[in-house]
Amino acid sequence: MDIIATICAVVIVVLVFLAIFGPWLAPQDPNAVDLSAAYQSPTTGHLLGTDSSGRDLLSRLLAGARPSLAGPFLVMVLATSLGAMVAIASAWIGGWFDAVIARSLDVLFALPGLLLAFLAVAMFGTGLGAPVIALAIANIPWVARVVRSVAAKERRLPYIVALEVQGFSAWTIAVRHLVPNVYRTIGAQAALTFAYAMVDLAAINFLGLGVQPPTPDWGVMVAEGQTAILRGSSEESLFASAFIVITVLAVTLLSYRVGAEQRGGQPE
Amino acid sequence: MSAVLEIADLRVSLPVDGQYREALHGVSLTVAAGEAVAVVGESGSGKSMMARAVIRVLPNGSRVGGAVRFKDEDVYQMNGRRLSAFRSTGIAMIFQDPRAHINPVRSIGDFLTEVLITKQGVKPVDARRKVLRLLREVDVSRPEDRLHQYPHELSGGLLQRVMIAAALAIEPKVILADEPTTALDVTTQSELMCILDERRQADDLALLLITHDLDLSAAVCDRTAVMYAGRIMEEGSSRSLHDQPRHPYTAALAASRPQIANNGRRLSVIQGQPLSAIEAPLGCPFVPRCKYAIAACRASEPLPKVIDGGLSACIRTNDIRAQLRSEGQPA
Amino acid sequence: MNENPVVVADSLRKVYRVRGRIGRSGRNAGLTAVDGVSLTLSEGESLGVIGESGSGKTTLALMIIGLQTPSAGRVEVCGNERGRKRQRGKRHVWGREVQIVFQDPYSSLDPRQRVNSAIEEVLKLHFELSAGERRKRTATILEQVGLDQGRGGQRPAALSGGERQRAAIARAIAVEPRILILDEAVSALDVSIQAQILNLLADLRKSTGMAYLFLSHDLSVVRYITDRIIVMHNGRIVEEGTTDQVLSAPQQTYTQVLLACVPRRGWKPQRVRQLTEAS
Repeated sequence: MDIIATICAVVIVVLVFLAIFGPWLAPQDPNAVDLSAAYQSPTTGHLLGTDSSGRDLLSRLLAGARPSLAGPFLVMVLATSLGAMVAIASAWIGGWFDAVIARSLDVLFALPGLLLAFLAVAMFGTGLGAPVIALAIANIPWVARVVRSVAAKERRLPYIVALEVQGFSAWTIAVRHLVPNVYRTIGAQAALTFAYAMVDLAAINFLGLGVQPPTPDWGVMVAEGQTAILRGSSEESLFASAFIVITVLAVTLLSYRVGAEQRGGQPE
Repeated sequence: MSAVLEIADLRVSLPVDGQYREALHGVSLTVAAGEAVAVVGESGSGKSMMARAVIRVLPNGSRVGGAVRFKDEDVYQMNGRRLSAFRSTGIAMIFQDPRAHINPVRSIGDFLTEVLITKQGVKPVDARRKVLRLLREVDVSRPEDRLHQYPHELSGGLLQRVMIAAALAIEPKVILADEPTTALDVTTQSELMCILDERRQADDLALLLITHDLDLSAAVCDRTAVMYAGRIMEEGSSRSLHDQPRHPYTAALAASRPQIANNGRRLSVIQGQPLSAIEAPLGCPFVPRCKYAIAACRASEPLPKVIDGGLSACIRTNDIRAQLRSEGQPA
Repeated sequence: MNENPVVVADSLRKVYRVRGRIGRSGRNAGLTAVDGVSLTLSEGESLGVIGESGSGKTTLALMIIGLQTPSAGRVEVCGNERGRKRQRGKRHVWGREVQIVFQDPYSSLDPRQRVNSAIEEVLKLHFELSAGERRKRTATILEQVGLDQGRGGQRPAALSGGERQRAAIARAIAVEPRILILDEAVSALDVSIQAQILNLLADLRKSTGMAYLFLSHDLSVVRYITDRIIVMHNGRIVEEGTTDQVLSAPQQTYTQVLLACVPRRGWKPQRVRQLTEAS
């Protein structure tokens, strides 16, 4: 048993659980303002204290799981499915098609994800939609590059050639044989994409360009916590950051483990 | 003749699922100066494990029993300096896949002269001259150019010639060749074996050839040991293994290989598949595949007995010798 | 013996474009892998193609299957030309005509697919059978290649090299092809397993009437399994004839040298230069 992988998996299961049931688990209304109770340290009434508006921090953190995780999740789904499709088509068809795709990905590589997201926000306004789509596009080449190299190697293996000789269509071979044999690589890339997107979206939300207050997003909470830090209570920023860091760590570590297993090697 | 290399009751255990299991099960073999000895076996026989044990490069966590002696000094008792000297001047190894054993970013010239310059203190100019002479000896065309080339620019056959030159360069006492020609064309195989044979005789080298090919071993080696499931089943003069096999496994192995000379006769087959020492049952490991097996074969493990100038680890050798002899004969 | 040819190749040529630098040998126009090869394979015949690495025998096979397009010349399999351009939809028909078994038993099967299901998948593609009939047919095929039912339910990782090669043969013969191409199909196997597979191949040909195109560098094996031989060298045919003729009394120097290099009783390794001068 790999202890680290197990811990990561448990953390991720808990996070998914929070993303689904968070709002109902929250002991209090996450948006209930009580200015008289602002900047409280942890008490029995507010287990993790309160923020500048006297809102219960624990409730906000729990309710914030869904918006905080939904963005990266969407980026992951979009970037991975598009990236993997492009990669497998490119590996399968080869030749000039492969070359064109490779050059196009190189162009995309040159665009930093955050910059693309700021541009999208500037054009389409704040909110989750524009940054998510921009980050998905920016992450496609990272997924595609890795999946392409693995798929191209797999495609040349005799069992794939034998299936071609049998007369199976390219589609059937790709879906039923090629993809299942490279899914670990795809999974590992998906997890990494999630982690990158989590950090990037937190930054966008921190800057106030994504999810808008009063929605309890972790990135937004880190930003809102800044005023509290000046008044000597750092709980809000600290806890929100901790949630972000733990999520990113769990997902990244697990993806490395999964990827190492695919290569048949020992994880470092 | 005294043995340059002596393997005495060598046992190697590896951790498998937390338990130590024996992969080499008491192997004994000697090679004298100027002598060529072959170790023949199928996959799992432990022949490559034996080669690695000889130069003391076993997987981490292996346990070794018995001894490997090089000129009467136990390789497993050597300190770091002695071991390094043994590997850089005493023994040279040639592998099946030369590409996996050569640094791809160093030039051929660097590769060939490195040990000479760093370990044997030869001057770079002299090392270069020596290496060029050796490349010519192993029939490498345009040797001066080759020194500046990189491994990926050379074909497999050419690279194996370079490996042989590298092995000869350190002027070893023993050459350990693990399937050196298996990946190569027959014409290249013939040439390389011929070169090794000539050098062995000229320099009084001991050659330990590890191969799966009984015909090849018979052609280039004086003596052959046949391994199965981590032990030696039969050892004797290479010729006797073909004409007068002592062990059912040797006879069956020889009979199951199609011969270039005779046509039409159906191949006799050894049922089942080769076992490794770890999977082997109690008693004789060949029992599940042996057509001569009797109850006594399962009872205890047969120890090698001297029969007719060779060794056989079969309790029935004397009873079935005539049948074994006819098995290998062309119909 | 050419009354009913299943493969006819006429002046086949394949030139690969070579990208980038090719060392100092100065080749840059392209690599001619196959250069004007003509051959006929008759119904039920076993034809050996002998050649060392780089002789072009694999490229030749790929053109016959239709995975490579000839640069010049034409090849007909069962009366259908294997095309110059991509012929979509033809693969399905081609699959019934010719199948192939590769050298490496470890990469010729989908690691995630059980042997049964691999064979059933092929049957589903080519035949209209009920699920029950398919299962029965699969069992028969497994029996034909000497795999027990229990092994059929396994994934490749649980099988030995010999069993995997049997499974690969089973998958290939499941469509009852008229031609089976064996590309070094026994070269990677242990000697004792090699004998089992060679006997299996001999039996299968007798029972099914398939024609074999047996590509190999191993003259002893070719001697055992083929009726007729083509010797290839640098993309060209240097000699052809019945197996007996070619291997007992080779006419060409190249074949003679090749033959002289095969280890056997009483053989001594020699330098090729000496051999060429001697003959």
